[in-house]
Amino acid sequence: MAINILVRFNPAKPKAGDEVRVQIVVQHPMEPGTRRDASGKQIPADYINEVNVLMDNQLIAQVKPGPGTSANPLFAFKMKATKAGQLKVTCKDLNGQTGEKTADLTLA
Amino acid sequence: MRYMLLVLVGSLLMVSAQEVDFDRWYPYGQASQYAQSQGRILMVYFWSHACPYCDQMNTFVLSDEAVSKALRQRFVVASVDSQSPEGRALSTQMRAFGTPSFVFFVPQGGTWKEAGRLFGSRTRAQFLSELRQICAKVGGEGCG
Amino acid sequence: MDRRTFLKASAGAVAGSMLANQLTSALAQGGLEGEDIANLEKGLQQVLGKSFKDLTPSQQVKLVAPTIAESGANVPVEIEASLPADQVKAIHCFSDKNANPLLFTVVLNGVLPYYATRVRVAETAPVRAVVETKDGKFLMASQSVRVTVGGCG
Repeated sequence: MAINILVRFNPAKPKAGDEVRVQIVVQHPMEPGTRRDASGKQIPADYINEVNVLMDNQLIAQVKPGPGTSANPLFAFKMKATKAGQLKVTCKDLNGQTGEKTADLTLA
Repeated sequence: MRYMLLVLVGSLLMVSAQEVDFDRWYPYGQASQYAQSQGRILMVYFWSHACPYCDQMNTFVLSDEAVSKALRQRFVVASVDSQSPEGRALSTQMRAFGTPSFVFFVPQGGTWKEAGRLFGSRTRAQFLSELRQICAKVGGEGCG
Repeated sequence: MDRRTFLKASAGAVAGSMLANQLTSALAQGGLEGEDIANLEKGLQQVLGKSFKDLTPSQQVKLVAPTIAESGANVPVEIEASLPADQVKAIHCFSDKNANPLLFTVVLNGVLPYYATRVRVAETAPVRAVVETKDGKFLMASQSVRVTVGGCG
């Protein structure tokens, strides 16, 4: 099952040259590998260990989260909205599950 | 009747003979049986899904290496969902209101003697020292 | 005030008095509450190949994190460097008392020197934001996050 990714721009339609905050939320338990379940068994580690953020297919940021990142993680960046384009977010977890999401940045 | 008794005795013997994994937790009934048969300290852990302090204990404290080792050596953990019907009855019986709560018992001549109780989350170092204190109070080897 | 917050508040008061001693000793040493350089050092060596003394505390790094967190499971952190974007290579974040002190690394290549996320903090300890510049400097901002101990009613 693919990992679900949500992307939001704030402001939604920035003016050219403005700062825009890119907010990425991924639905994932980010199991750190140290949590004990109701029967005291250690839940195996299963977290996202790579997030790539691309603008028009060029890598602009790469996150290496780990067990120290919370469940349903937020990854937020800021960039200058110089031109409209397509933002793409890809991620993968320890079990080899992957997720991908594209979002169009449009200028006001 | 005699046959049933034999089966019962047999199953009790099996419990004590077989290797029990004390790195994990058990439902209350099973845990108290293990505590009796293996002469361990019973730690009844009351938790609830909605309580962030329980999550903190589960993620960072109860999984800590030193804490796990102390529990594995001398304790048996009964994992009790305080919101379940059994959990509500047990928390009333043991007067453990709120989560996380830890109530400690030692088997004594077929009954239980309370050996201590803790309420609320704590740091790894503090929880470990409290486990050691309870273990030392009860006596015996391997308290760390 | 509902029952749960009441219990938490009273548990907090008890914890507060217990913490007071630890806090006084931490302040006496001039360190941040919950500081654990020895444990942090492991992570720094492993991730950056650097030692704590190689990091330069800097006003150019701004770290926003709560001073008190109800749960260590979900602590928001926001890191911003007042440096030109093209001078910043990466942002790293550590917490002194986590078994694995590294919280995350993010490599920036065209975005502004800013990153926000939510992290897990094992217990009361400083969070360290380390900004790695392209010319090989490691600029640091630290802030202690107190993870409250308590219970639910």
